[in-house]
Amino acid sequence: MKFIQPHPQLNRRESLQRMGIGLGTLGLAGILAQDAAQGASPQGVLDPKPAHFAPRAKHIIHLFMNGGPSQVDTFDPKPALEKYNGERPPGAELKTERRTGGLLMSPFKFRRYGESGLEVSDLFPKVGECIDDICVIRSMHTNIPNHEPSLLMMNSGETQPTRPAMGSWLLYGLGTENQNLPGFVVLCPGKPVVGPQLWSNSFLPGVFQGTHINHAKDVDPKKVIEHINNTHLTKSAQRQQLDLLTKMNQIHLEQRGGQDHRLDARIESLEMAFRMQAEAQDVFDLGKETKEIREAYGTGQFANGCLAARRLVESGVRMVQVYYGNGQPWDDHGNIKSHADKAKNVDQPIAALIKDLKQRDLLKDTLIIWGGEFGRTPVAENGNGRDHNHHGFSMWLAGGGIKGGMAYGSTDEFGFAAVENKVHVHDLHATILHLMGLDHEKLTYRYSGRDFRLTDVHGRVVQEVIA
Amino acid sequence: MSLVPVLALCPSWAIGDEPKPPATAEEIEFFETRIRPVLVEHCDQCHSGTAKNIQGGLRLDSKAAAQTGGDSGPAVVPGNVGESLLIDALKYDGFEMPPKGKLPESVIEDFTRWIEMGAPDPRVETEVVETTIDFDEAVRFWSFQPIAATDPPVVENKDWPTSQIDLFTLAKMEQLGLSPVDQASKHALIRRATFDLIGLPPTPEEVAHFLNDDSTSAFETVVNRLLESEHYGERWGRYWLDVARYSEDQAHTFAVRANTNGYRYRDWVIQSFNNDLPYNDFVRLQIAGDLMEPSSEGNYDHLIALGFFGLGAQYYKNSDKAKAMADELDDRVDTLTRGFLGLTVSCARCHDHKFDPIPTQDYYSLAGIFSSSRLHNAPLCTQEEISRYNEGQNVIKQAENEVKQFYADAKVAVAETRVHQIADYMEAAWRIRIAETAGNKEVKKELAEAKSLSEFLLSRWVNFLDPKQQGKVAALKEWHERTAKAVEVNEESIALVQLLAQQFQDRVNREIRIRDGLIDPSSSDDGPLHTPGSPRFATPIVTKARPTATIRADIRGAKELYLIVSDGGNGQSCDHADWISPKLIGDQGELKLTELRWRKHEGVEPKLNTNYTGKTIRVGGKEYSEGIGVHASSTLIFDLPEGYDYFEAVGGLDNSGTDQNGCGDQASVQFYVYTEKPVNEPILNLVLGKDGPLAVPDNELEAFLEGPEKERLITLKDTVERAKKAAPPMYAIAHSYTEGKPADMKVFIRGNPARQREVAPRRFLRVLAGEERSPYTSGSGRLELANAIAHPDNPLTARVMVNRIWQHHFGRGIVGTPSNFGKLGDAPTHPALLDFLASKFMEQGWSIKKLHRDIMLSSTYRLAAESDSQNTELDADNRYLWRANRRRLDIEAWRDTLLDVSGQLDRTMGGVSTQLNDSNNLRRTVYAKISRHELDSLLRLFDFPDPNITSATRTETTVPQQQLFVLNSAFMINQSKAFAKRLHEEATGDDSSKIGRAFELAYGRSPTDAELALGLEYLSVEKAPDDKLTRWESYAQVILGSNELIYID
Repeated sequence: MKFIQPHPQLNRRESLQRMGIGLGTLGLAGILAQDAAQGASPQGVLDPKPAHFAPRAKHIIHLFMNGGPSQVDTFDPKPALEKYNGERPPGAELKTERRTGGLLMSPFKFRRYGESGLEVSDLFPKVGECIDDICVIRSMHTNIPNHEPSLLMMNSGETQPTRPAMGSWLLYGLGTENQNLPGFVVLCPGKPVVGPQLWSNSFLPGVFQGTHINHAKDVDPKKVIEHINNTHLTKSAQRQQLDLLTKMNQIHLEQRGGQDHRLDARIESLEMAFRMQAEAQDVFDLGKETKEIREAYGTGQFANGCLAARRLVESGVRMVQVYYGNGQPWDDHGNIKSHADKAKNVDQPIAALIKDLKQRDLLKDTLIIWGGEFGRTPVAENGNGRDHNHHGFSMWLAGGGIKGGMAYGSTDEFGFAAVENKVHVHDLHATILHLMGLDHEKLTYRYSGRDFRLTDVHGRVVQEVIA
Repeated sequence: MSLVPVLALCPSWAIGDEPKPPATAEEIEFFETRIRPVLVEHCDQCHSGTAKNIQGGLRLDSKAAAQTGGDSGPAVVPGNVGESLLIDALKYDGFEMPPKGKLPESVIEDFTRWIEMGAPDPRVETEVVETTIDFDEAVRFWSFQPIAATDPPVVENKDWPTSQIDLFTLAKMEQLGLSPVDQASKHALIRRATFDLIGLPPTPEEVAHFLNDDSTSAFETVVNRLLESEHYGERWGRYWLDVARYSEDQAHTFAVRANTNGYRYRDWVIQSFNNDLPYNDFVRLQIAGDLMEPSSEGNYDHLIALGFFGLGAQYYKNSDKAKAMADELDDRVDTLTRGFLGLTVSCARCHDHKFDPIPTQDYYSLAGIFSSSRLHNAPLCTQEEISRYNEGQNVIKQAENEVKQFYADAKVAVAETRVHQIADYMEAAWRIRIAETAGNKEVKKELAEAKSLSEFLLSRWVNFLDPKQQGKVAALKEWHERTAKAVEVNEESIALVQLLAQQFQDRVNREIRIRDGLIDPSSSDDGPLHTPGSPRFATPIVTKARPTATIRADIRGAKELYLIVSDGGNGQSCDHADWISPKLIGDQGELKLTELRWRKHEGVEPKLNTNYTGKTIRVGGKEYSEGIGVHASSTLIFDLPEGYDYFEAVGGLDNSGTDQNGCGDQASVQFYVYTEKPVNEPILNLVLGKDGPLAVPDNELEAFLEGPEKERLITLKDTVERAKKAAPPMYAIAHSYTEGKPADMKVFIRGNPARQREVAPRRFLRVLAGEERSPYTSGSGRLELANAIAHPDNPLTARVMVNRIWQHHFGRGIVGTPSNFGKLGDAPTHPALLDFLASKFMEQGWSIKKLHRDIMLSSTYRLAAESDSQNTELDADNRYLWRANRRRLDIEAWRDTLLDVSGQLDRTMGGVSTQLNDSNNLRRTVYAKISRHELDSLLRLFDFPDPNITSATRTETTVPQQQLFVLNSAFMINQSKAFAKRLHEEATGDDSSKIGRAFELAYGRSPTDAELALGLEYLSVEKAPDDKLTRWESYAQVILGSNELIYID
């Protein structure tokens, strides 16, 4: 898809038609994209656009365990750690960011779940119950054992802050279904390390940026989107005010011959903003859920985030990220047992989310992604902690086109490095785009003399995990 | 180092090994029948010279290429199957080749055998071609051709043109059958010109003046006035700041130093536009100002101008530093070449540019110039001013150190003077607990006063003795056990508590005396003999201010010696400690511990006769030749020989730790001597230590001082304050750029810093400077680069800038991609006009203001924004400029206009950046802080570009979130209220006159009858009681939020 710089005062499609140039010459998709790029109308730029091929998923919920959860304590059981506990046998000598010691056996027990019998640790008993809907990728790897570069890599496919986020790429490629809501929402109590660059549009137009919602205190519908709440006029007074504004804008338009697509667009956009006030607040009002649903998700920031994510996806939002917390909470250098506190906060809500989506028949259209920016070492740091590990880690996918109840790829004997069917973050991105109906090699944006891609010059669609 | 050890590491067969004999006929046969056909069939398509795009940088069509390998390393290592990535790929291990499907096992076995036999390969070496660019052909591309000043074309309609520019545009129109629409109304024209040049609306008076000026030069007068306005630079400087990806911080979180002086560069850009600094100088100063003479003595603009690079991206370098540094160089090359030359040289970082004549080597030639330069916070003052500042800071630091030392001394002294009160504290704490259990919370003060105790310390004692702490302090075991039942205050329980408290106090006293070497442990008068597991000796906490402590411990009867250094309670950072001149003393004489090797150690490896870092032991600036250097926490264990009674040493905190920045000032350790494995934490540490119940925190210490001590502290503090006042303030700095170590870079194969090819001499681009261009020899080469870019023969520099200026007047450049004049950029719509303007630009001394004047006085610029159906059919995009483009104000101009119309705009220029999210910020938007980490939400909402990368054109989007800002933001509400207030003040008549004034101020015109009627009708309605805005205020909001205010004809 080529993307042309905006140009004022024209509707390319109309003008081309009038000029008698057939759509065939440029290709419909190209023209649509160009119209969209110009932001010619609010229905243009973020309007749903046809995918490259039939999508398996329409929405994404990315549950981001920022800080980097440990694979050998969650979804990648390694009995060898028990055998060699405290030792550093050959093969466990990989370099990570800090000094590490001998192997550290997991303090958590693993048990088998579901028909598939996949093993999940005691940190995630409720997620374990859903394992037959989940595909665990045990052979993830990334480039650098550091939070910032790896967060950027997971979100934008590059370790420096110079590329658009995956959510921005998706909006650019697919638009979004509900024009009254932002198409790419990032829920985080506070802000993850790196911050806004993780949901940045970068060189894509600003309209594709993610909308960050800090729900540290609560999901307050009045505050979630900037300026969403009208605090100074009654609804009817604001309606009167908007009517006057529309009339004046109409007069202005007529004084200019009555034909200017952009003037029209802003008039419509004002109406849409007026409607958005109510609709957006409605979506974020968790109080509208039943008691049963609220109880199923439980309480706490992450539970609220999951529930809000479901409501957003249900309303047509393209991509929702739910970060675990401010900073990098899963970064347990000191004591890996601290994983338990965090797992306790996420296990129930995640399981509830999967079940809730399934029961609403939304799971088939919604791809759930679980994971951090990297994993952790099987060797100990500071006695009972674990260091960052980019050589190998686990993530899991569920819903939208994913084969459930399977593990893909594997790490070595100790869970240190991915060895079999390795999946780089670029491969994960290629696979996610594929599930969304996009060819990662064709979703390009011309900028600075190059056609940029989310996957740069990399990426392999992991067909094996697709149902 | 000699060669011997290196050779020793080589496997024996490598030494003197004969070169491998040439392949036998059988081996060649094997290659030709089993290997070559497979390579041709399955690999050549992507990995040979005939490949359309060579994948992964790997070629397999020659012996050398296969053994050199691609991005990931050598594909074939003769004789070594494990190292040969080709085998991994065939086995689908890490790579999966060929991608269409794994080859049969038998083929993989053939390849394995072939490599084992030494990979015989008869194929003729093909030279790895450096570049395949045909430069002779490439320079014919329009943008590399010299700027040719051709005569303007002849046109049919002789009446329309008023300037030479018009001849070019009209000729195009006539050629295409287009005809220009009417000229814009004077009203539209003055609004357009005013927004164009200063980004603010004309005042009603300026409009009236222009409408009444019937002279032919009326518009020229307006243009000249606007070009002289100081607000001109605020408008046009901002356009350049987009190109310069100006910002004041970095995108990431960790270890970011904000560029708080970044605003100086922004202000310099604004002033440069206002002063009409010739563009060639503007270019040269931003690339190499530090290597140029200042314009006058005491002027530092040449250093500030380097903010172009000095404010560039700094990436996180904690891991993979080489890549992060290469990425930073890429930021410089990219911003330089796109910004000044309209070339996308960064595309050549990993391979030759796919479309433009830029070989990879050229990229590294430029990158080498930047790797030979470095970021620099340049002082904007004389060396004397710097010295005066440093001197002032030294005085402050010295005074502060004296205060610190006073605290360090006083704290220990204060704590120790209160040891005799331990028993009183303990009894009082016990009484408080009982009272509080009974609900009486008021007793503390009373109890403290009764025994002259500190209330603060008493609280600490209460916590220290809290039964919940039971088990933590072994020495309090008896206290906890026996007082647990003493829950009532009576004679018996008081006696018990007093006894136990006195025992604890005696214990502490005894430890102090052991520490100070005052006790003879054999004397029964001094209490029981040494308790196994407790220290024989402990020093006070040793700090930078008190870096040594004398140690003498009685070790009679002991078999082992444990020398322990703790971190002093505040963490281990910078805690380099030494046991200086450690020795055992007995009847038979002395034994140096440095001659007696320790049996075991815990912690970091100790060093004999040096400090922990391996350098000479240095404590308090004094050097020692004998001792053991350790890093806290550390334990040394010695087996004691018979016949020694005392251990002596000096414990020292080494300068190698305390001289470090950051933690050095806070370093502290404590030395202990044990003769058995320690059983629990030393009592002295617990009681007198930093958080112990006798320790006073710094901010409370003063309350414990009396008389001369107190006065001394006041004097010392006063000295600090006076030093601070006397010290000259920090001199101004600029985030600038300076020379580093000049060195050429090597080409990174596929952009990978770990894999390097030939040297890329520092020099200019071949397509612009020719094959025989000379390498740069003066320092980094930046000045030579700057001169090459600003040279009048450079075909790009003038064209690119002229096009940028044109773009901001017309909404689109003559070249639609202002930072890409390469093949993938747009072709110019008016190439001859572009050259005409570029050559005139240089002729007129690279004056941007003259260029504005030329453009704005043309008939082309003055066209109306109206449509025309006939023209539309031929050129709906208006590429050929038959009318003016209606333009939406960018966020800066729109926000500034809202403030101006409401009467609130603060026109102060320059200085430290302001926060836009403060709805009371009334400054122009160009003065807002621009953050790479978190761009202000208003800027982002209205299409401000990401300042992490250079930007040529702003996209324009229309989304509801923008209109939410119009409807609901505090900023809009503030302006609406202010605007309504202004209307009431300035228009004293009826509502009609106020509406008239509103239109004049906002739109520069009077309302039509219909508009007036609409307004009056709206205002006639009463506001509802719950509305917080008056009807006038909400009407004002409508005027401000309208299309007419944001779209300019």
